[in-house]
Amino acid sequence: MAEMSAMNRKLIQNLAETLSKQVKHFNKTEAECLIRLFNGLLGDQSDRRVGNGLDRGKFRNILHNTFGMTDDMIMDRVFRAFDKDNDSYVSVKEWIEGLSIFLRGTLDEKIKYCFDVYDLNGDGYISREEMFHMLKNSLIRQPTEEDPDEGIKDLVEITLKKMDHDHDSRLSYADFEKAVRDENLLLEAFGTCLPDAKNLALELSLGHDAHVFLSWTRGRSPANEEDHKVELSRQLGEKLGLCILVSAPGGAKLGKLWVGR
Amino acid sequence: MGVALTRAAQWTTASSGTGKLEITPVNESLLKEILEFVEQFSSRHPQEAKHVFKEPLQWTTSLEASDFKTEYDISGPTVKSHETDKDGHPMLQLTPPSISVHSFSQLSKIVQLATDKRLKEVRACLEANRDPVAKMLGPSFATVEGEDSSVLRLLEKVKEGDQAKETEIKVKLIILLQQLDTQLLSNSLKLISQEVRLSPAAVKNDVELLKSFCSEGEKRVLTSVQYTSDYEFTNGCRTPPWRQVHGEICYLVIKPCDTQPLHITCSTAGVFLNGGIRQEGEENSYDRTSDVYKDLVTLLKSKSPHFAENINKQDFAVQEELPTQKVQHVELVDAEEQGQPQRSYEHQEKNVHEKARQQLVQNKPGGKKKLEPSLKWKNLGLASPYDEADDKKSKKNAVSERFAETQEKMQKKADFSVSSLPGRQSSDKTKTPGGVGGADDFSESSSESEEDEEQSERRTESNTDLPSEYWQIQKLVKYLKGGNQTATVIALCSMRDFNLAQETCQLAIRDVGGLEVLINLLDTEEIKCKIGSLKILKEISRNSQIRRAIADLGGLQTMVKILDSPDKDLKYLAAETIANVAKFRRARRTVRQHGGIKRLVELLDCVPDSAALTEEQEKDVEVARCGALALWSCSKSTRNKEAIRKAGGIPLLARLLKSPHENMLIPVVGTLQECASERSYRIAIQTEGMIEDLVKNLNCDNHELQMHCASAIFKCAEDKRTRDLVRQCEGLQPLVTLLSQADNKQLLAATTGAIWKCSISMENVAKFQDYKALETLVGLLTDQPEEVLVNVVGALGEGAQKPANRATIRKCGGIQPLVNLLTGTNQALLVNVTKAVGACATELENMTIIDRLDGVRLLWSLLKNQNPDVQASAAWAICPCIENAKETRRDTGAAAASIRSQVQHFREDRQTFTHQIIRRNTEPKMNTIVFNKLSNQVIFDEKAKEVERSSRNYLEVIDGQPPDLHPDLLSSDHQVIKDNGIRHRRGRQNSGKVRHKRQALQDMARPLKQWLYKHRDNPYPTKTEKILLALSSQMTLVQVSNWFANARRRLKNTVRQPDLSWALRIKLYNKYVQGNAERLSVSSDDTCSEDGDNPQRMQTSGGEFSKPMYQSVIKKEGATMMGTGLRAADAASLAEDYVTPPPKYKSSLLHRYLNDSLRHVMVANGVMDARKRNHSGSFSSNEYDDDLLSPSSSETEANFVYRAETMDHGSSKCDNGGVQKEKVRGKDETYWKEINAAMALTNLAQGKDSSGSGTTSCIIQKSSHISEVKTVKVPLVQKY
Repeated sequence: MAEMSAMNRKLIQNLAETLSKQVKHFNKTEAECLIRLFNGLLGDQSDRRVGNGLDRGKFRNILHNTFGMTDDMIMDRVFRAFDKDNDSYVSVKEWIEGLSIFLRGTLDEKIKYCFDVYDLNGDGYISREEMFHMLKNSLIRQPTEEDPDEGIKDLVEITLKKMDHDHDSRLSYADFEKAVRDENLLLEAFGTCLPDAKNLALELSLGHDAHVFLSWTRGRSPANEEDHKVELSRQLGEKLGLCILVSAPGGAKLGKLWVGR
Repeated sequence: MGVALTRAAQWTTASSGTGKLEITPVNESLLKEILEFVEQFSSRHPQEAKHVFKEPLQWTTSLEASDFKTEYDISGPTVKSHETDKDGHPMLQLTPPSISVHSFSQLSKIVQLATDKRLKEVRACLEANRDPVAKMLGPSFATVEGEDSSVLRLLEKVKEGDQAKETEIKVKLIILLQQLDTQLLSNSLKLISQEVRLSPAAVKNDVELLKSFCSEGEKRVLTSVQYTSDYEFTNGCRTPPWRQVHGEICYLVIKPCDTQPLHITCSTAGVFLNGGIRQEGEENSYDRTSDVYKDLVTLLKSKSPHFAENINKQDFAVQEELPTQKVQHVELVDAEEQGQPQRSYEHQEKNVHEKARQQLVQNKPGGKKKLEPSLKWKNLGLASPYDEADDKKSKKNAVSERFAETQEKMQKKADFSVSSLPGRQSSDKTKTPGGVGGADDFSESSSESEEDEEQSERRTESNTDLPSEYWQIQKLVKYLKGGNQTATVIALCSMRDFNLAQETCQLAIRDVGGLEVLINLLDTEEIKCKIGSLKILKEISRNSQIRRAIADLGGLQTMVKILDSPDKDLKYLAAETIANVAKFRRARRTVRQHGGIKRLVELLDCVPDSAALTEEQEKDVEVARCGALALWSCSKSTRNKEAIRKAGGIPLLARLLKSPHENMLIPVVGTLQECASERSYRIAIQTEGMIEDLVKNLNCDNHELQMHCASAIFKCAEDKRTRDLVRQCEGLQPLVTLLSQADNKQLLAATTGAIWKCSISMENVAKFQDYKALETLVGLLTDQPEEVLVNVVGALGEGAQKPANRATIRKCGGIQPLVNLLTGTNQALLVNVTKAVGACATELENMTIIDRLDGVRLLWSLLKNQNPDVQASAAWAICPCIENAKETRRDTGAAAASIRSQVQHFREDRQTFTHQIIRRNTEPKMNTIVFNKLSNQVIFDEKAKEVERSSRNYLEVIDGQPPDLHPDLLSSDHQVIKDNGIRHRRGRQNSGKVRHKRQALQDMARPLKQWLYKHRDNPYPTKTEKILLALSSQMTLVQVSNWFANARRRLKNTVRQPDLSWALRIKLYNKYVQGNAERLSVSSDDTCSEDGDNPQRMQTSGGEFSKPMYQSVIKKEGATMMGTGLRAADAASLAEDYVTPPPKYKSSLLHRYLNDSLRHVMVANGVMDARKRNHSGSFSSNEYDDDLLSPSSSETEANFVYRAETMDHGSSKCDNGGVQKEKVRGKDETYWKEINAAMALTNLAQGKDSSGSGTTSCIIQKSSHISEVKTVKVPLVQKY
C-alpha cells in the first residue's frame, strides 16, 4: 500500500508536471492538487482503469453540488464540453484542461466554451430552436397566459435581436463573440454554465500544511495562506462531500482536501 | 355623569378648569340627555331631589328675576327660593348674573322655568361646574381619571359617617347619577365611534403623502410640511406625553402656497388648528382655534383654496374606488404596507396566490378601515398618473386572481389601462401629472375591468400614438419580473439597448414598474442581475425624476450595501449610481445615514500610482474613481463633508490626486473643491501638499479638471500660506494662461476666482504683473456672466493696489467698464467693483476718468445699498475719489475760483465728507485725527465772511490750546473753510432738486404702501387692484407691479428669517431696514418728508455765531505727531457734506447706517478692539470720552480734537500746514449724530482693512444719543 501510494504520488507529480505545461492556467502544484482531487472524486473506483475517468453522473454531481448548476441540459452540455474525445468519461487530462477554462479561462476561452455548450447539435450555430430549448424554463409560467410558449418565443426574438448581428436568425460564433464582447453579461446568455462568481476560490492542500488556494476569480493568482485576501469557497468541499485522505508513505496522513479556513 | 363629562364631552381646553363646551353633535346630545334627566328628576325621584348638595352649583345665568314665578321671593333683581335647607338658607339664590342652586328639585324647576333657554343654562352650569357630582355629594365623589368608578366604591364612601336616612337618599342619588353617566357614555360612544378616529399611523401616512406634494415647480400644492418635533415615541406620537393623554398625536406646521403657515394639531379626534405651537411648552398654544376636521386634507382644503383646487385633481382616485373592491384594496395595501413597503408589485404578481391568501387572512381582523384615505393616497404615488396606473394595475391583478374566471381578460385590460396613460402623457407633455384629464381617463379604465373585450381592443387602437419603446420596455420588464436569472440577464441586456439617456425611455421604465424590479434585483444574490440592473439604473438615474423615485423606493440603501460586495464591478457600478442619484439633499442624507460615506471613502483606497496597470488594478482604479464620483455628489452637503473627513477621506483623496488618470482626477478634485468650503479641508489641502497637485493639474488639457482645480484654489487661496504655495508651485502662470479660455465660462469663472484670491498676496500681484494678467482681465470686463465678472473685478481690485497696475488698468481701458459695473445689482459684484474703482481712484489720472464717467455719483448712490458690505466698500472707494478729485482741482490752480465757477457737482461735496473721514483712516502714516466740531458749523454758514468770523473765533480759542497742536495749519484751514462755504451753497441748491424727485417718487408710492400695509397678510394685489392702484398713484401698471415685486423682495431680503408671515415682515421691516432704504409703513415716510433745508438748522447755525464756545479737546499724547499736521479741510469738508441733505433725514439715514455698521464692526473686531484699546494707552481713555461727550447730548457745545499726523500728498501741499484748531458749537444734536455716523463709516472702512501697519482711530457710537465714544486703534493696510 505504502509503495503504491509512493508510486502513485510519483505518478501524480509527473502527470501534474506534464499537464501543467500543457494547460495555461494551472501551475504544477495546482495541477497536482487537482489530480488528487480527481482521484479523490473517482474514489472507490478501486478498479481504476487507465483512460477511465469521471462518468457523466459523477461529473454532473460535481457541477450540481459545487458550482450550483441546476439545468440538466446545460450540465449535460458542460459534460460534453469537458469530454473532448466523446468517450463519455472525463479523463484526468480533460479534467484539468476543462477546469482550466472553466475556472480560470480568459474571456476568449470562455466565449468559446460557452458557445460550445450552447451549440446543442454542434453545427457551429445556435439556432432559434436551440435557444428556445435552452430558455424554455427561464420564465415562470403564468397560468393566465394562453400560450405558455409565447413568452419564451418572444424572449428568443429579443435575444436574437440583441445578438444576431448578421441577421440570419441564428447565432454564429462570430455573433456570439461580438455580443459577449460588447456586453459581458451575455456570456452565459442561455443558462449558467460557468462557476458561480460567488464561490471565488477552492482551497486545496497538499498536506504539509501548505495550503493552496485555487481561485478562479479573474486575474488572481494562486496565493499562499499568508495572503488572506483570497476569498474562498467554504461550501465547496462540503458540497463535494470530499474529505479525502491521501495516504502518505508509512500510512501517515498525506494531506487533506481543505475546506474552508 | 362625571366620567361622561370628562371623557366624552369635548372641551375647548383639555385641562380641567375653565374650558368651554364646544358646539359639537356629541356635546349637544350629552346636554340634551342631562337636561332631560334633570327635568324629570323631581317628578320621578321627589325624595332624592330634595337632597341638599354639599356645595351649591353656581354659574352665570341668563335668567332674570322676571323669569321666576311663585315659590320665590323676588326683590328687585335678586331671587330667593321659598324652599330652604334646614339651616334656613334658600335652596336657590339668584343675584344676577350668578345663580346658585342647592338641590335637584330646584334644578328641575329652573330647567322648567328657563323654557327655551334651558339648554343654554345646562351648558353654563356644566361649564362652571366641571364635576357637578363632586359638588352635589362632596369632593370624595369627584371623578378622578383612572380611579375605580364602580358604584360600590361610592357606596362605601357614602356610608362613612352619614345618618341613616340621608345615606339612603345619597345612595339612591349616586345610583341615579351613575345610571345617567353610563347612559351618557354609551350614547356618546355611539356618536364618537361614527366619527373617523385618527391614529398615529394614519396621520403619519397623511403627512408623508402631503410631503410628497411639496415638490417644486408649478405643480406644487404645498410649500412645506413639518413636524414640530423630530422625536417619535414608540406609539407613533410626536407630542409630549402629557399631551398624548389628550389624544394628540402630533403637531404640524404646514405652509400652503397661498396662506400663512398653519399650525395644526393632529389628535385622535381629528385635526384642527392650534395656537401656533412652535416649541413645546407654551401652554395656551395648544388650544384649538378652529373647527375639527376629520383629516389633514379636509382641513387644508378649507384653509387653503390653492390646496383645495389642486388637490381636487388628485381626488378622483378616492371616488373611483368601487364599493365592492374597497375593502379588498385597502387590505391589500395594508399587507403591502406592513410587509414590503416599497416594492410589492412584482412580488405580488409572482406570488399572487399567496397574496390572495394573505388578503383573506388580513381581511378577518378588519378594523383597519380608518387608514383608508391616506393609504389610497399614498398608493397614488407622487401625483403622477404613471404611478397611479401602475398601482391600479397591481391592484387589478390582485383582484383578477381572486376572480378566476375573468383572470386573463383583466390582466390584459389592466395592461391596457396602464399603457393608455403614458401615451396620452407623451402626446401632451405639459399636462400636469395627476391632472384632471388623467383622472377622467383613469376612472374609465378602472371600470373597464368589468367590461367586455371589444372595448379594450378599441382602447388599444386609441393608444397607437405611444412610442414603440414603451411597449418594448414594458415587455422587457415583464420578463424581468417573471424570468429566471438567464431570462433576466437577457432582458436587462436588451433593455440597455434602448437609448436610456432619452427621457421617454427613462420614464417608460419607471411607469411600467421597472424601477421597482431593478431595485429589487439589487437585493438578490445574482451578481449578474445586479450588475445588469445597476448598469441600467446608472443610466436612467441621470433623470431627476428617476433619481427621486429610486430614493423613494429605498434603492440607495441597497446600493450602499452593495458597496461592501467583493465584486468590483458591482462596487463601482453601485458607486456610480449613487453618484448619480445623490444629486439632491434627501438622497445625500440617506447615503450618509446608511453608512454610505464611510464605504465610499473605503473605495478610494487603491494604488493608482503606477502608469501601467494590470486588469485587476484597473478595476481598482475604476472603483476608486466611482467612489470619488459618488463622494463628489455627496459632498454637496455640509454634513457629508464632515463625514468624509471623519471617515479618513482626505488622505485618500490626496493620494488619488497624484493619480495620472484624468478621469480619476476630475471627481477627486471635484470633491476637494466642493469640500474646500470647509475650513478643515482647506487646511488639509494646504498641509497635505495637495496644492502642488492641483497646480500640476492646472496644466493638463482637460477643461473640466482645470476648472475644478482652479475652483479649489479659489476656495483655498483665502489663506495666505496657500497663496504662497500656489506661487511657489508656479501655479500662477497656468492660471493666467487659462484666462484665454474665454468660451468656457465656468472655467473662466473658476480661473478668475483663483486669480482674484491669489492676488490678495502682493507677491502674487507682482507675478501677475509679470504675466500681464491684468491686461487680459480688463479684457474680460465686458460680456461676461456675473460670476466671472465678480472674480475679474475682484482680481483687478487687488491688483490695483499696485500703482503700476492702476496705470495698466487705465491704459487697457478698464476704468470705463468698471465704472459701468457700478450700476449693477449683484451685491458681490458691487463690493468688488467699488473696491476696484476705489483702488484705481487713488491714481490721479484714473480719477479723472472716473470723474468724467460720473463714477463718483454712482459710488455715492451705492452708499445707500442695502448690503452693508457694499456700503462699506463704496465708502472705502469714495475716499480716494474725493481726495483725487480735489487734487485735480488744486492742481489746476485756483481752488476757490474753480470750485465756484464750475462743473463740480454737488455730489462731490457730499462725498467729501465720507471721503475725508475714511481717508484719514486709510492714510497710512496718520495716527491722529483732529475731528473738529467747529467745522460743522462753519459749513453751514452761507457767507464766507461768517466763516471767517467763526474761524477767527475758533482761532481765539485755539490759542489757549495745549502746545502740541501745531499752529501752522491755520491759514490753509482758513482758505479751505472758505471753499467749503462756497461749495456748500451750491450743493444745497442741487441737492434740493434731487431730493425733490425722490420725494415725489415716494409720494407716488404712498397709495401702494398703504395698500401693502392694509393687505399685509397677502401682499399680492390682483390685477384689478393693481390697476386701481396705478390710477391712484399715477404710475403705470408695470410700475405698480414692479413696485410690489420690489417691495416684497425688499421685505424678504431685509427681514431674513424664513417662515415669517408677510405681516410680520412688514412689521419688522422698519426695524431691520438698513441704510437709506425706504421705510415701509406709511407714517414713517414723514421722517423724510421735509424738503429743502432744515429751517431749524438754519436758525441754529445763525444763533451759534454769537457765542462760540469751545468745549473740549481730545488730545493724544503724541510722540508720533511729528506732524505735518492735519488739514482743516478734512474736518471742514466733513461737516460741509452734511449740509446738503436735510439734516434730519440725513441723520436718520446715517443713524441706521451707523447702528448696522457698528454691529458689523464690533462683531468683527470685537476681540481686536479690546486688545487694541489697551494697547493704545496713549489715546484718551474711555472715561474721558464719556465725560467729554455727555454734554453734547444735552445740547451743549462740544468739540473734540484728535491730533493727526498726516503725510499724504494733500497735506504736504499745505505749505503752512500745522495744527489747527477750530471751535464749534454743536447746539444741534443731529450734528453729533452725524459726526458719529461719520465715525462709524470710518469704523466700517477699517473693519474692511483687516490688516496693515498703520494705526487709525475709530469712534464707536452706541446709541442715538451719544453715550459713549470709544477710541480704538486699528492697524491699517499700507496702501501706498
